[in-house]
Amino acid sequence: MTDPAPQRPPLWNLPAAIAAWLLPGLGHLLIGEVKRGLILATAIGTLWIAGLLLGGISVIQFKTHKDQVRPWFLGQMLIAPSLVVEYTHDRYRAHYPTLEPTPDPDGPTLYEPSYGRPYEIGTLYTALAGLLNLLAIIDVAYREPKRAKAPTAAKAQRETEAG
Amino acid sequence: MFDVRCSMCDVRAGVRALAGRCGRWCWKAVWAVSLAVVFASTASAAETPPDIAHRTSHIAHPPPAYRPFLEPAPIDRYWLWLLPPLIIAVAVVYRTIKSDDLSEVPRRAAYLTLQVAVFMVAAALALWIVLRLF
Repeated sequence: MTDPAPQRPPLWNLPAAIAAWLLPGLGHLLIGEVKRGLILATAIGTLWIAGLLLGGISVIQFKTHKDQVRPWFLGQMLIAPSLVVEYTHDRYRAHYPTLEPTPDPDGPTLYEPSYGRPYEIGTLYTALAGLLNLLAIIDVAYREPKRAKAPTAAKAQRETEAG
Repeated sequence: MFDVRCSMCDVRAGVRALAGRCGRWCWKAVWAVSLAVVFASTASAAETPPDIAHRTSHIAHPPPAYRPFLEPAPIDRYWLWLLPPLIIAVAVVYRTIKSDDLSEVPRRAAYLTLQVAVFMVAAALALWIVLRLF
């Protein structure tokens, strides 16, 4: 009787990669890399939130008011919550009747578009957070799950001791 | 002003002392020059009028109070200080992914942060010199 074929680890872990895109660090948490996942979540999440705090929600937008695609959004969209922020920004922007850079002088508006340094730094922070999350996504997609590895090693040790 | 001497060859800090007689990089001198460049850049950035003042100068109303996530933060004068957190985040994420042993991450991330910062300052210094010469 032939031995059963050894179980090969999956070539790449799609659910973990999707989880990492949905929330930075979540993919690593799912495969049992808790500490690594928490560090990644803290670092990438802080960077992304800091970008939004510095520049406001207007740093995340798919198209400019001239209807041109912003290449920075390709980096920003590598974190899924950016899509929610972009959708919110798009809805808020629709309240401005004319071009975006005209704030309402009569009272507080839903939001204020940012320009200059806050816009640049906020865009840089959010886009870099997305690109760093891409590294995390690629890493978790090809990383062997920790939970599956630990019982196998323990089992092999027990077999050695018994045999 | 910068009375910093190399611990190896006792050369005073300056451009020539970056690689002193001992043939090693004088890190004290590198730090002194780097800090001087950073402070000079910050001072020159503070002198330039913020872009937002140009763009919204036609508005008579004062800027509204800061509302998190809805208003841009007033960072025009100290935007350069926002680069170190960026470098730290890149170093921490990169080392977290690359290191098998997570206990090594703080030390290796700190070293990578230092490397990136020094090379960024060196690149800025080189570009500044090129702009001054040509």
